[in-house]
Amino acid sequence: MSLNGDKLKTILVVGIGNPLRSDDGAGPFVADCIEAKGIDSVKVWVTQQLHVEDLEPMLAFERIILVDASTSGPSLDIRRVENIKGQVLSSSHHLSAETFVNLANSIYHKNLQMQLCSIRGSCFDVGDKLSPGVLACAKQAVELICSSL
Amino acid sequence: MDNQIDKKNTILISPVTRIEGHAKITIMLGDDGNVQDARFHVNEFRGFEKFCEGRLFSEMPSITPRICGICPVSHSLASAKACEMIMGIQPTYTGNLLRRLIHVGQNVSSHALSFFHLSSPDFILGWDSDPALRNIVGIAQNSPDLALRGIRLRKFGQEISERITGKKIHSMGIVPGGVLYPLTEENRKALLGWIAEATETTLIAIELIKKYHDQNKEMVNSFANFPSLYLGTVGPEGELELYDGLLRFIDENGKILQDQLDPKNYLDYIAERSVEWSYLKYPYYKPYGFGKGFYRVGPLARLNVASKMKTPKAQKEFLNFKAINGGKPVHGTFYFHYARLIELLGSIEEAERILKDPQVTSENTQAFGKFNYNEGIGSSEAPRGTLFHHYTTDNTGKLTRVNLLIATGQNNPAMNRSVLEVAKQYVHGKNVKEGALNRVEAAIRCYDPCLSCSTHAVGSMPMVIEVFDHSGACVHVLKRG
Repeated sequence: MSLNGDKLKTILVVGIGNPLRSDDGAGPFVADCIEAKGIDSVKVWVTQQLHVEDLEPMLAFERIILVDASTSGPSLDIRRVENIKGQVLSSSHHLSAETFVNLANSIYHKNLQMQLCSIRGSCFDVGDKLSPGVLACAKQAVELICSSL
Repeated sequence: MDNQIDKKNTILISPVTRIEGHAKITIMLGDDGNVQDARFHVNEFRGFEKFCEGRLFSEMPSITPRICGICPVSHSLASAKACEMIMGIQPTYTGNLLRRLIHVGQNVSSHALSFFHLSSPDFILGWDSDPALRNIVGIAQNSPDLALRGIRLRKFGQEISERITGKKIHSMGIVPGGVLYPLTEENRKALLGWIAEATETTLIAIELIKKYHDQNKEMVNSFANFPSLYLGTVGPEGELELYDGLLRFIDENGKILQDQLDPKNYLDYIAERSVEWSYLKYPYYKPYGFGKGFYRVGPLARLNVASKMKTPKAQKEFLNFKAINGGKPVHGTFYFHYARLIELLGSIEEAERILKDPQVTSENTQAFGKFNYNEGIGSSEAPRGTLFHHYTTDNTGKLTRVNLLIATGQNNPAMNRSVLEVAKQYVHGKNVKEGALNRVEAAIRCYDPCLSCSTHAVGSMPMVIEVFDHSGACVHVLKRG
């Protein structure tokens, strides 16, 4: 799946994670389920991590929904990503959603409308299946996201 | 690992930030408060060499790109070459062209990352500026146009890989005999469309670093400036070569020690030794022995070793580089950045040359063969330096031994020396300011080390610096993140 979309797609759903690390695959699972629904306005993209170069093609979308596994917090959470200044970056390997919104504002003068759906994982060992509780939350996330589209 | 070091008067920087992978630095102070010793530790272990044993040799070009997300192409190339030696085949003309193209694309991507994302915040925002903003976010706020250019330059490098192999990172498709996928005419034109912007951005970066050199001559020239040997790959006329060529060693005065060495004979000239404080080994130039034989690889080494560049714009800048030390090797570690940008310029020029070759869109991308020999050695010039893959197989083609000699490993002794030199210059006493420790880290960043190549990056990235007094008690702590 490429991030480059067509003009009819106004909403981008990004599934973030590694499907071979058990619950880390929650994001890609949700993305695949939404893709299967074939919603006209929705572009789905799966990636293992966000890179700064991914920002530019994202600007073409009116709304972006990131779906990612988390290691803490509620079992399922959907929140708006705010532009927080002073993000600490010490590696090129990881960019937070907040950093993305910040960079979009600084470089492209755009306010990204971004939401982050977090699903708390319990097992990140090698494996291609979600834990039962995480699977239930992932299915719930699919319904919540689709109902908001 | 900390326990192996005397805690008396020790400053610890862990993890080192804005590098690829995780490491820490310890600085040991003497009773007078001055730096006595310093060490660069790599404290993760990965073990690729071991768990590849038992795999079929032909799987390695697909497995080894996973070693690193920054230089997967170099691993894939070295691996494919080692397999070609085992099979006794050569890649097709177009296969070689496309490999070169993907490789220079990786060089553009990696060097752009190193300069714009990791190192430029130090000299654009200032060594002592707010560490929370001393990164690409800070650059974006301070110089949004430059940040955008840096991001797009890296994107261009990645797009070369994506348009040939379908993946911008961990690109697949480099195989024994060539590459799996041809380049379409549409993709060739799209990539050519990037050349003007990429060249302009690189020239802006070169002017920026040269201006910094002019304004900070004393600092630049004294920053971890020490003599060493250098290793790099050159073409038949001594031209800098990244994809395929023969090895050249020079000494600290520029005298050629070995020239046109076949990489297959690398073990005749390079040996390795382990040290107790790091998972990174200490390679050295065998004829000079451990200690005296430490050498450097990577952009600074390659420009020191080379007699010329292959492309006109890079050659023009190369002459300026050579003039820095009157034609002799440039030892100042800070000049890695300048060397890296000159290579970047040459890589863009080479990409243009390849894209204009009529054979680049040919579908004859791969030669075929079978398992013939029990040993294969391949090398390539990764963005960080010379890389070797060495495989030995049983009679069914299963690997019985794998040796990966990584560029960052070869720079390990020099990185330790650089840390020591900079610490001596900037660290005095226990109450060290964050900016001084940032300069110590920057000595490592000059080498742009990719620790993931030999280890693995895990965990969070806060930085903690601890200062210990004579009794071993922690008297000062600096936290980042």
